Amino acid sequence: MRDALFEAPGPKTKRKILVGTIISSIAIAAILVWVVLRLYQMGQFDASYWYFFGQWSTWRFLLQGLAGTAEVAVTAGVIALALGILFMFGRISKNRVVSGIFRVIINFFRGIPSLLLIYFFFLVIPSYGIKMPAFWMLTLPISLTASGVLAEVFRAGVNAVPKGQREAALSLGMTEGKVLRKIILPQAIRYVIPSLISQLVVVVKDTSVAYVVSFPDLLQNARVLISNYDSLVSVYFVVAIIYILINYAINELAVRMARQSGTKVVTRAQENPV
Amino acid sequence: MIELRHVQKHFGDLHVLKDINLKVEKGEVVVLIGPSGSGKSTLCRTINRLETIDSGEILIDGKPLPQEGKELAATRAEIGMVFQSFNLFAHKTILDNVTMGPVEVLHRDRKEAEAEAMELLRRVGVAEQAKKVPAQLSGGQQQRVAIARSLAMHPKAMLFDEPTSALDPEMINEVLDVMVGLAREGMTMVVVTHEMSFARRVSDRVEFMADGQILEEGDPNEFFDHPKTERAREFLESIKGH
Ligand SMILES: Nc1ncnc2c1ncn2[C@@H]1O[C@H](COP(=O)(O)OP(=O)(O)OP(=O)(O)O)[C@@H](O)[C@H]1O
Ligand SMILES: [Mg+2]
Repeated sequence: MRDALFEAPGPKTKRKILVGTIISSIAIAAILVWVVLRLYQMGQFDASYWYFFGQWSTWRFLLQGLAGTAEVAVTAGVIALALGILFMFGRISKNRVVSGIFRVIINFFRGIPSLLLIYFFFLVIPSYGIKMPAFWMLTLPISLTASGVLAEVFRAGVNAVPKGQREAALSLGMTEGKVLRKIILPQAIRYVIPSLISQLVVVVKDTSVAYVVSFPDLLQNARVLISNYDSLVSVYFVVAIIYILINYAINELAVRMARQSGTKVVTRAQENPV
Repeated sequence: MIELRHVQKHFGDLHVLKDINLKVEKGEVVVLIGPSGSGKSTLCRTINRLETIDSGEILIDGKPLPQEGKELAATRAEIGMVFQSFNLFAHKTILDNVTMGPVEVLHRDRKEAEAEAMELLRRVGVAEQAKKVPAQLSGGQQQRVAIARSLAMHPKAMLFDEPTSALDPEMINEVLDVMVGLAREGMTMVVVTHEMSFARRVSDRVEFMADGQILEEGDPNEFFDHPKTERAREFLESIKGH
């Protein structure tokens, strides 16, 4: 793919790129060899660390964890989308006070690490006598932090809709609310689909702190396997691959959808022009 | 039908509309003409309050133009507007663009609205494109759809802001022909345009604007052949080159 930021390389640049490629390839290969060698010396390729991956029960246990991860990610994703749109509406309100309040809310959730919020739900809220299942102590904080980001993503999308669309709709006699719902928002969402999906990747990754609240997600179940079989490296290796594959699939979906919608796309970098 | 009295407007320090007085009777076609930046678009857009005014009065059918809310929306629904850049709804098909107003604003039955929309699209000559999206149409076709979209609301009057300026020369006439047809059927129209042929053929009056003022008004042929002010003479010289 041609990168729009750079000119097509000339002969000199091509030579430089070639030399750079060779040197970095050698370096990467050397590091890989070293890592594999070290693991070998430590006996990490020993069958005792790997044999249980040949058993269905191991995979069933990991799949159960994966289902937990998916449950949290999908629920959090849906809540975050709804809240993100709600926060965005508040943020673009013409009422300065409302818009100011939502600006604070959005920046709070956007800025706070989800782990911190999870600790808050896990440690602080129960101390006021409010009981909550582990699932929600995990899902709500993840939803809230994602919704802050999504609100800004949606706002970028709304701002990217040409103002003539709004004027044409107003001229037909639509009220402001209807213009937003029928004309602006549908177009804004199309613009930001790729950003929405990258945020879904963040949500999936965020679920991996489930162990804090002892929710059985993929990583939590992996930790159980590790202690059962005393085999840290092999399990982490397999689980990492699973996470990477899932997020890669989500990203592929994003690219596909962006191409399909064929419309202008607002990337994360443009979210916050101010 | 449309009346502006002592309308003043500023954009910051810029005085864009200076004491504008304008009266458009039912069935009249008025052409606004003048150099770039003279305030023609702004004037046109104040009539359906896409631009607010600082002072003065705008009357539609003798009643003050509402300032907000449902009343303003209802008044806008009665006044069609056609933009230089078409502004068709990019995410909707041509047919949906035309039914949007009747269905969403007038709460008409969708089937009926679609039948009438097809009729309108046929009238402006783009019925075959009904299932496409705006980006697939040429500029001239898009502008004709935009006119059909306005007509679907059965407007009392229509505003046109340089409807042919963004078009390739060979597409200008297809749009002007539709507008001439409308004018002949008695539509009340305010048209910002530099198309002299259109002004001569169908307009009742030309208003010449410069620096936010209406400097000259009158019969189109009279204006183009014997402009009274020096500004108008200079301006007409400058556009004859095209
Ligand atoms: N939203 C705005 N904010 C600030 N200034 C504006 C705005 N819209 C228009 N202007 C300025 O007001 C003046 C009149 O603009 P207007 O668009 O009405 O002119 P026009 O006669 O339609 O010109 P043109 O033939 O180029 O379309 C111009 O100087 C323009 O730069
Ligand atoms: Mg203009």
